[in-house]
Amino acid sequence: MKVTNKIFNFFTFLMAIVPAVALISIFAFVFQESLPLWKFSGFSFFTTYLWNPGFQYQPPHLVHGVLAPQGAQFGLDLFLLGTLSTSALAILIAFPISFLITLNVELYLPSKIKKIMVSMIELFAGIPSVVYGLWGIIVLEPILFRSVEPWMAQHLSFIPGFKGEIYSGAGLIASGIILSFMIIPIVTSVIVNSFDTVPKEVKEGLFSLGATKWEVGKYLTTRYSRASTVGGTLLGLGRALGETMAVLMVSGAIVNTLPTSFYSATNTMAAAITSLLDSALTDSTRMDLAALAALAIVLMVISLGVSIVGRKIAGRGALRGYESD
Amino acid sequence: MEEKGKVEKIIEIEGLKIETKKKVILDGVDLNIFRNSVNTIVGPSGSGKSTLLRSLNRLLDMEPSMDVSGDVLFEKRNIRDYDPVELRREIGLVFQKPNPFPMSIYDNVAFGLRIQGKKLKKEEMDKLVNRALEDADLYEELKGNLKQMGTSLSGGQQQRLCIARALVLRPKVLMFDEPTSALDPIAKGKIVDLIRALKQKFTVILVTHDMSLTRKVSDYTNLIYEGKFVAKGTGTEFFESEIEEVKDFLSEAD
Amino acid sequence: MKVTDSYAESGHEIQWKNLGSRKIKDKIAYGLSYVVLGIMVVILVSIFIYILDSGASHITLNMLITPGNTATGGVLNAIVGTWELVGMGLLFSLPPSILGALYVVNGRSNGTLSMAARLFTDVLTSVPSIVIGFFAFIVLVQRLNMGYSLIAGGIALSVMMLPYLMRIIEISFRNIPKEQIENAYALGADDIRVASRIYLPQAKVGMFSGILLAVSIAAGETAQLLYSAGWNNNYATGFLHSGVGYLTYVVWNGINYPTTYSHYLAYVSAMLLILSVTGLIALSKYIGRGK
Repeated sequence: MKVTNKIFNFFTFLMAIVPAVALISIFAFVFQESLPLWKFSGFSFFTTYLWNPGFQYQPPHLVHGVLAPQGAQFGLDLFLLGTLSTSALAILIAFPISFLITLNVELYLPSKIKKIMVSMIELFAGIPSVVYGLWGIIVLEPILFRSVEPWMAQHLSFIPGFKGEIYSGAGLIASGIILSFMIIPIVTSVIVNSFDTVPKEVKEGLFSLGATKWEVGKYLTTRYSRASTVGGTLLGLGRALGETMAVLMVSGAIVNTLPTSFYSATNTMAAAITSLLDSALTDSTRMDLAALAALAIVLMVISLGVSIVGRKIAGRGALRGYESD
Repeated sequence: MEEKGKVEKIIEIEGLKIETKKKVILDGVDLNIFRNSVNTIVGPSGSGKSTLLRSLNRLLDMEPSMDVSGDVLFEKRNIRDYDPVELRREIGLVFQKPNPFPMSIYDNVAFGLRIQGKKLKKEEMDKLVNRALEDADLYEELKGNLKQMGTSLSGGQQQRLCIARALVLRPKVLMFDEPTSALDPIAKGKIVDLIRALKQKFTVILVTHDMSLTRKVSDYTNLIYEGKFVAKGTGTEFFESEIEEVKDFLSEAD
Repeated sequence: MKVTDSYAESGHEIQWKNLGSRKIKDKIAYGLSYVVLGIMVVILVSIFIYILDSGASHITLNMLITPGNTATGGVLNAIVGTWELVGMGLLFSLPPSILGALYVVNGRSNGTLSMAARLFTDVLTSVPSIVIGFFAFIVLVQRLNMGYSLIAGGIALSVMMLPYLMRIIEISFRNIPKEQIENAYALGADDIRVASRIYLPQAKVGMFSGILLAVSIAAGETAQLLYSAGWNNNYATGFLHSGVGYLTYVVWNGINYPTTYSHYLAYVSAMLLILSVTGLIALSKYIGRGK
């Protein structure tokens, strides 16, 4: 083989590992930035919900060998709780919707319209995150605040968490709804794709044993293609966990106050990093920045973990690509 | 073989026409299917044989592009007056390509009963599953291994598993769509024996372009050609027919 | 061979489930699925109408031809900046995507390494965008002293575009008939020639369609830009040490700023975003149709 060809091939190899290098450097640099925080907070980072940057106008002091502002305290519980609860609500809303849409386009809808409908659902993934945020603030929050949440508080108050004061429409419910819009296309597209790859003989076999459409749909999604269904849902969850802007705009972005009901304002790890970074820059000890880096590391580990498991279960190629923010 | 006149008709097809926007698949065909016999439909590929089978259990309802007209009477009642679910319970279908579901052999066979039948006690379900396996001549080979995946069996075994799966519902008619074309000669031989045995209790409709299979099992043979039946006859009559298309078809097929 | 009696003959009738109740379940699923699909379509359409309507009713020519600071002036600096950033992101991500995809599809590459490269590509798509933004801030903006800039923002966007493009390009490469590639090798072509004569020309439609999709996603990004591209009340004056404006920032900042005019700017930016993003998606689908 000619030398130029060898050089070319080596170059393609270098380019092929760029994503790996990028991933590893992101993790390494962010982790390195977070190191002082682990020394400063240790395990208490996971056991408190309070987040105080400390007093910037007083001289910093040494704690466990690292400099930190006086009064500083960092714990991720509030943000972790917010991330998990908003994503869980999003999945709770998105899964049944995706499931029913799949049944509809695969079994009930005339096949001509199917493509148009699937493309329409995919459009949900095309709407920029901030546009969802804008819509959430202007349209969704007032509806929740004036009608939906008061109704829930009045009629569902016997269920724990449904009783409480309503101060605004921003919070868990608004975040969960908007996140669900963002992940419905992902979940739907994975389930629809796996439904499409079921051999025709199997579908016909089910029908010729006398199964109804509902029985066929239920069997195919929950048994035959269960891997894709679970994997697709996890991929959607992974996306929801890392989503930033829309949640930042409709969650209420609260700090240091734990939610007391479903109507309370909340906050997520991704949103907190975004909203707290500005003020963290004023901390000369960089401890505040280290705390945000620690938050980023935890967020990355969780959302990558969920996505990797989802992808592994669903199989490569299950997703055509809607997972970026 | 029984005399033709004495045999009862179980399905009567009258003027059945199946077409898409682009082409006519079946052009107003008439055909009788006789009880407890092997009714064979032969013809070159693309002549509409499989479509005919799929219209008999109304599987074609799933394909809105297919326009079906004419009448099919199953036990003197129009199949349009049956619920498709009930109809498919009475008329089973075995496909060209074995299509076991990715579950155990036992679950494959029990599938139809689980979705269609009232909940059964375990012993009773076992009995019905075993009997279907016996009827499909699979029980001896597989007993004790019923937890094995259905998809892990050999091609011939998979095909007989699919037969057992259809038989467990005790259909009155069992339709085979080219059941041997994907199988090796030994597996094929077993299916031949099985079809012969099955006609004692069931009515068999066999679609094939395999003339050796037809010679071995067929009681009534019908040649379909470009959407029309051009020849019908009992086993021997058919093969001695002087009709041009039959001679052509036999010479090409052999 | 003996076949057992049918159930009727042996007095062993199977009890069928009530067909009515099975049918009702089917009907409920049928109805519910239409209701859900209908609701989703209504929501989608209403979001579009709302955004387009509020944008269209507050847009002025002045907004489109002057720069501004999300509270006063226009959004031209943000429009220009958005495309500068997306262009920069594409510049940084497209060449490695094409070359990397060539490595992954090349049959003579090390199989394990190819697999690993693909795995990392997949995983990179799942990194939350704010984590990429945070990384860009501490490494590019601070350590490498780029400041808030076009380059830092472009690299941050490219980290998100790269795995996406690499995968789409890999798929378009794989759609090329194998015989063509084998023929070319059999005729003595080396990898460079096969890449330039077969892979690139044959896959160009699929690649172009994928690029448009990646651009549409990048144009709607915010989180990784906030602390890499920063913001600029005017046009960026260079590649480094000069923040860049972008439309998503105007939406975010404008709607949080308590003046009516800033809200108008947010609406107009949201409309421009949604028009360009859906336009790009539609164009990409049109070009890639039948693929």
